[in-house]
Formats: sequence, structure tokens, C-alpha cells
Amino acid sequence: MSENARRTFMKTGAALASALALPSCARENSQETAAAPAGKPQTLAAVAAIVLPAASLGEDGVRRVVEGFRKWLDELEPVAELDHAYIFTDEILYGPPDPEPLWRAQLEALELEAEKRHDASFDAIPREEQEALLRRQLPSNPGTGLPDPARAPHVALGLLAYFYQTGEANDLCYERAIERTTCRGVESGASEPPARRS
Amino acid sequence: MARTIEADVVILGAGISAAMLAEKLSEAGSEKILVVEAGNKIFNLDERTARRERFLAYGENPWPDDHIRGQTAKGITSRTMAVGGLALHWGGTTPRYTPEDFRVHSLYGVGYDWPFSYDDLEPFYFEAEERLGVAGTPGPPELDPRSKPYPLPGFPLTYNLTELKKWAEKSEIPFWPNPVAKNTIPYRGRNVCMRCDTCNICPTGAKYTPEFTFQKLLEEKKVDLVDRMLVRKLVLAEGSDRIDHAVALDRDKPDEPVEIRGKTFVLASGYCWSSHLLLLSANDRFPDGLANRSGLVGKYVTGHRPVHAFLEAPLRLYPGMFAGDSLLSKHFQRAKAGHQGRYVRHDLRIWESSFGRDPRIQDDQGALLLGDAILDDWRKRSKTGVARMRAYYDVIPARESAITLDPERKNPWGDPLPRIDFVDSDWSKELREHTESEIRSVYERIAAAGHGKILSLEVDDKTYDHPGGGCRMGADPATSVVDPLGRAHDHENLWVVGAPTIVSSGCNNGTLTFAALTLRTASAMGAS
Repeated sequence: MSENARRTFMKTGAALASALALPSCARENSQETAAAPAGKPQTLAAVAAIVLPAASLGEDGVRRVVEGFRKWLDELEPVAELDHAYIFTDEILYGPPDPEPLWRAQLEALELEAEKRHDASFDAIPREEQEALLRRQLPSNPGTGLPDPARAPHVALGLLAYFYQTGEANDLCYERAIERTTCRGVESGASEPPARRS
Repeated sequence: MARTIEADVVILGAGISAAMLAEKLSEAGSEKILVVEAGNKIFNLDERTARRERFLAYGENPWPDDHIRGQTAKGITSRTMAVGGLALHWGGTTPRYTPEDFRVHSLYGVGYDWPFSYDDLEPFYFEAEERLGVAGTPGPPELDPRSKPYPLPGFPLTYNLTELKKWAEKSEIPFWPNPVAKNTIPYRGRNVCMRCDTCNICPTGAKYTPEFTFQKLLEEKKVDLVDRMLVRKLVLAEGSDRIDHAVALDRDKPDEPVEIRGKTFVLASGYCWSSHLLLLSANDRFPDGLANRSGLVGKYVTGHRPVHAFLEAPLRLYPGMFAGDSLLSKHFQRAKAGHQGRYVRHDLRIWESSFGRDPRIQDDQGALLLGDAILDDWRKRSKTGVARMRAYYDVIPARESAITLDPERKNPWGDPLPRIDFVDSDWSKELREHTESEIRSVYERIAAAGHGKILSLEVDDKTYDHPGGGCRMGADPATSVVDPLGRAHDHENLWVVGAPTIVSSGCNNGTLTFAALTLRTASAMGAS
């Protein structure tokens, strides 16, 4: 990601994180000041509310995931040297190119279609219409499993893949505080994990 | 004129065998020891927390530039070439071979006996466990013989493994915690494990990696270490079979030739590159490569073949509780013979797993799931547990299983690269179907006893795990490359240590055995 693009996404992300906390009338006003190239900040927020388990995460939880996703994308190094196996390493593998330009265009496409179909911004149309529009724009056969987040063919799948690789998602599934990959004590883990902290 | 570096003992390679050797030889204190590594020196404990975070977030290599561009083998090997070697990435698993591994021909009429017994190696197993810092809980003595307790107390079993142990033992196959080179108490200046579950990049340094040994030896000025120095050839003394010097290439000054002179040379470059260097060092007197009057340099390379399975268990498990921890059984390694009296030996390991329970975005009907529907679907599919299981069975080495110089590939400096072609021996070819059938029946037995089922079973055709050989040891110079202590039959001042010297690969992870063999060689070198 170029420095300019990175900064733009950062700015947009910060704005959308704030926007999520605002009532709808305030969000409408905030559209006027949104950073242009990455689309309106509310677009990703609206996508997140559709694809993430919002009922389980709650509004704050969804916002936190979006903030984490933004930070993750901002710090992604395109074509980074990837981890390789202990023994079987035929070749050194490198990661994908920066997904941000494609994902930005996809957010803009959601806005464009919303404008053309509903004469309204994506976040302003009804929830059911948002989901229907998003489903139309997602790849027709995205596969069963979640992709490597950085290789996701759509920003919505990137956000999903990012979230579902976190320990928070694992804890939500099992409803226990497993806290995967959290460093702790050598004696820990001998008992059944306690209930998840909400 | 070549730049010259001199030492008494020149160790080529800086992996785990080199670390064991350098440390032990340095304790005598009388000789100048030089360690030469082609790859980079990566001493990064203070960076590991950040490296770990990026590994978790992006899958990045936590040991960047741990390889040399263009220095690759064709076949099964690691690209890692750095101070620390493959053990930078290892999981720290350190089981011993069993006594039977050293006598398979005498006991079962297949394969090859080693030139010494388990009892001969046992003190060096313990020494290796002490130097690496192995934490373990002994298995039943008849299955897991050892003369002394593990140096470090074992890890407590996780909840998941406790449940899986009870479940799997309904089959009357005993399991116990897999021993690991990770600190359960502060040990040798390294921290206690915090169970971060990213053992390929241990942020605390609780897992043993060889660069800790080298850092300490360098701080104490007990060894010298040069990295980024690729040794290209060993050269004999005029009119003698002794190694006189090594021709090397300083990767930072490739146009400046380097000669490394020593009284004693030790190949500690792993199973691929040790044989490769001997083959590269051919000369008029040794036209097939140094140490190769037998014609066996690079031959009899071997490993064990994994049979993977995932078993559903009617247990409530919580994947994510230290997925690297595992259970081990040697029940089928000590058997006198398998079903129908035919030779079958294999280990068994069990891990927690989320196989088939990962979140998904399409349901069984192909409908796209979004929002809470993904989580609901995931929860429904995660009500029962899964055991990941794996059996390693030994592939009996064949002479034709070989490392050779690839006529079609050269490195950036013009040297032929290695080519590795694994071949099963006739024994293994004949036994293969029977062996894999027996392992399948073991999985079926465990599943049936625990009211579970096999979800997946796969023989990994392409894998010879923990590979070794190529400079196999033996008493007879006609059938081996090095003697039972690791000295080349053909060159009195050339030794080979670790993985290249093994006669067979057993049924367990090999690193502890490679380290024990190296320490045995170090004792012999000291005595000589």
C-alpha cells in the first residue's frame, strides 16, 4: 500500500469508527466530510454490521473489530516473506499484493449501486436492501471456508476472515475464555476454560 | 591471494548438532574452535514478540532471511540455512528412539542394525536432554526406558489432552505427554514457557534454539563464529588423505577467496549439505567425492512416513488451548511383531484439533452465510471434539535413496546443487501395504473403543520426515562412510555429526537422537 493510500484508509477507518457510534442523523451529516478516495467511512461500518455476528458482538464489539481490521490492513506489508515449514520447504513463499485498492473500489461500488438503485447512500438504505446489494456484489462462489484475509476477493470476506482468525471469535464459538495464542503461565490450561468474559 | 582463517577445530554448519558439539568441545578449553555458517546470524530474542505478532497477523516468516537465495536442494529438505539451522523453526519435540531401532535386523530380519546399542547411546541421550533442557513425564518404563528422570519436570496436561488421553486409552493403548525442549522452570539462563502456542517463534526463549548456545559461547569467547561464509570444497593436504583446508566464499566479499585451515574438520551441515559438500570436494584421488571410497556418500537417505488421521471424539473440547502440546505412545514400537507376525513398528501422537470445525461461509446446501448465521453454524458443528493423530513408521533405507549432484542446477556461484531422491527399500515396498493397514486398524480400534469415528485418514506419500543418512555410520568401511563414532573412514581428521550419520530413522522425531549422536562423537573427539 502506498503511503498516501495507507493514510487515506487510516483516515477513513478512524472516521468510520466514530461514525458507528453516531445516531443515523449524525451519520448523514458526517458523510459530507468523509475522505473521498476510500468512499464514505460508513460503508465499511454498514458492511461490518451485516457480515459480522453483530448480535453476539454488540455494537461496540463490531466497532472494535472494524478498528482492528483497519489497523491490520494499515500494517500489512505487501508481498511479505511468509513463514515456511520446519523441514519441507520447496520454495520461499511471499504474500499477496496490497488488497486495499481493490477493497476500496468494492466499497465505492456498494455506494454507486445504492445511489443508482435507491438514490441513497449504502448506509442509508434499509438493512435488508444493504444485505441484498452486498450479496449481489460478493463473488458468486466464494468457497466454503474463509480465505487468507489478505487474499480475500472482497472486502467483506477480508473482514470476515480477519475476524474469524482471532481468539475472540474462537471464544465466541465455544463461549469460553480459551484465549488462543495468549501468553500466560506454564501451569495454565489444565482446567476447563472458564466462561467467556462478555 | 586467499584470506586465511585458522582454527584447531573447524565446525561446518551452525545448527543444533554444531551447537552441541561446539559447547561440549569448548568445555575442554584447550582448542581454538571455529564455527562456519553459510547463512545469516539471527540473534533476535528482543524482536521476537513483534515477530510473533506479525506471524500471527500475517503469516510472515518470523525468521526473515533464514535462507540463501539460489542455494536450494531439489527434494525433501529445509530451506533454512542460518545460525540455529532448522531448529529455529522446530517445535522442540524430543522423544528418544527405542532400543529396537538399533537392532531391527537382529530382532526382525529387516533393515540394518546400528553399530552400537541403545544402551551405548543412553548416556548421551540424557546429556542431550540436559543441554537442550528437555521437560518430560516418563512413560511406562517398559515402553519408555531411561536411566534417569527428565532434567525438567513435564508440562501439566491441558484440559483437552487430559480428556483425549482418557478417551484414547479406552483402547488400552497407553499415552503420555510428549517430551519437549521447553523450560518448565528457569533453566540455563532461559525463561519459563508462557504457553504462547507459537513455538515456531518462541517470544520468551523458553524453547531451546541453538543460537542461545552460540550467543553464550561467543560472549564467553569460547568459540569463534563466522556467518555468511559458504564452504564450497574441502581440500586434502599434499600427498595425504588429511583435510588441509576448506575453500569458502564470503557472501559479502564474493570476489575475495577464503581458505579456512584447521587440524580437525567436522561436518555439521545436516543430512543434505554434509553429503553435498563431500561430493563437491571430489579430486584426483577421490574422484567420487571425499570420504567416498565406499561409494556410499549421499546414499541410504531415509526418514519416516506419516499416516495422518482425524478422529471425532464424543467429548466437549476447546481447541486453542496450546495446540502444539501432544501425547505420545511407543506401544507399537516395542512390539515383538505386528499382526500376522510381520514387521510393523510405528509411534502414535495425539493433538487437539479443530479439523472440520472451522468457521465457514457456505452451508451444506451451498447457501452463503453472513452475520450471526456463521457463528451459529460454527457452534453447531463444534459440539464434539476432534483428535488429530499421526503415526510415523520407519522406511527402511535403500542404497538407491540418494543425494547426488544435480547436473541441471547450479547455485549463483557455479556449484552444482544437490538433488535428493528418496526410494523405499525392497523391505519397505513389500511391507508398506501391510504396515498402513495395521495403522488404519489402530485408528479404528481407538475410534471404536471411544465411540468415535474416523473423519479422515491420509498417508503422506511424499514425505520422509526427519530425514537423515547420506554419511551413514558403521564398523565396515565398505558399507559405511563414517565409523561408529563419526570419524570418516577415509580421512582421519574429518568427522561427521548428527542426522547424516544415522543408519535408520526410527519411528520418532529425530532431533534428540541427532544431538545424542553428536555428543557421543564429541566425546570420541575429545578422547582422541
